[in-house]
Amino acid sequence: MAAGSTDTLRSASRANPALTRDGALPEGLPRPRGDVWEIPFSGEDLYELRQLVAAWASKEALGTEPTEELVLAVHEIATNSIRHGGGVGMLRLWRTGDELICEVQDAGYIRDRSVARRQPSRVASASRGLWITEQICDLVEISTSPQGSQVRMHKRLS
Amino acid sequence: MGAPEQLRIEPRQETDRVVLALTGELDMANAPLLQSAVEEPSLAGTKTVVLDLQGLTFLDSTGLRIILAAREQCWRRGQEFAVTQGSQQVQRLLSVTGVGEHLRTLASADEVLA
Repeated sequence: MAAGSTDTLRSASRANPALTRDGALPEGLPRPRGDVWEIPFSGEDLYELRQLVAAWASKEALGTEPTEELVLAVHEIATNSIRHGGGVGMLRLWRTGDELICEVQDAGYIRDRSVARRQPSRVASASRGLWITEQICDLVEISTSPQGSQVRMHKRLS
Repeated sequence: MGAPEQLRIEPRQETDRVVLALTGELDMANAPLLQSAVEEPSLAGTKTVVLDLQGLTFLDSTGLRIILAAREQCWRRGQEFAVTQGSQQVQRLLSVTGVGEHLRTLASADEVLA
């Protein structure tokens, strides 16, 4: 789980040939400016991913409750990457003025984007990671195409 | 690494119920552990199954689905099913999904079902 190295990007490009050389999707969300921490992950890494997001968010002084929400959101979306998005993904973490942003990118295609917004039935809601994420983040941006998906989760610092 | 050892399940046989105490984190990686603990034949004869979530520090949507499946299985066996209140994170997932209000929830594992 080395962060931001060229090897990292190369392995992500191998996993997803649709990625451009800088690891972005051709028509994805705008690239963030400034420092971005990139962490490639696969099915074995969920536990460590949670630890890492929790440590980063608390270092950035996000409160306990919003940190737990952000950890759950990232975990749910990364779980989707592992289940439906080709088994691997890339987590990107950065901070803007007053927000922490976590983005998960993978090779999956979210065919029905309304799954993020439509209230699932009670039993189904337990399995709707995207819907849960929408409930616990301040903003969730989604870019998806047959080339891959980005889910960008925002959490305000105050 | 996201492995099954992140979750510990300790069954405790009491007079007419079995309490399964969960410690650690319940997610996609180790949800099958809970599934097999609930399918354990020795549970079939008891009147009530309680999942003690007090030691659970993390629960995700997969884990929640397994808890609901466990409840279904207990109901099919004609058993009562209840959980205890979990950590703040667990409570929040239960409330966000709306599942919490439909789960029989005990304040602690010592509480007996009425």
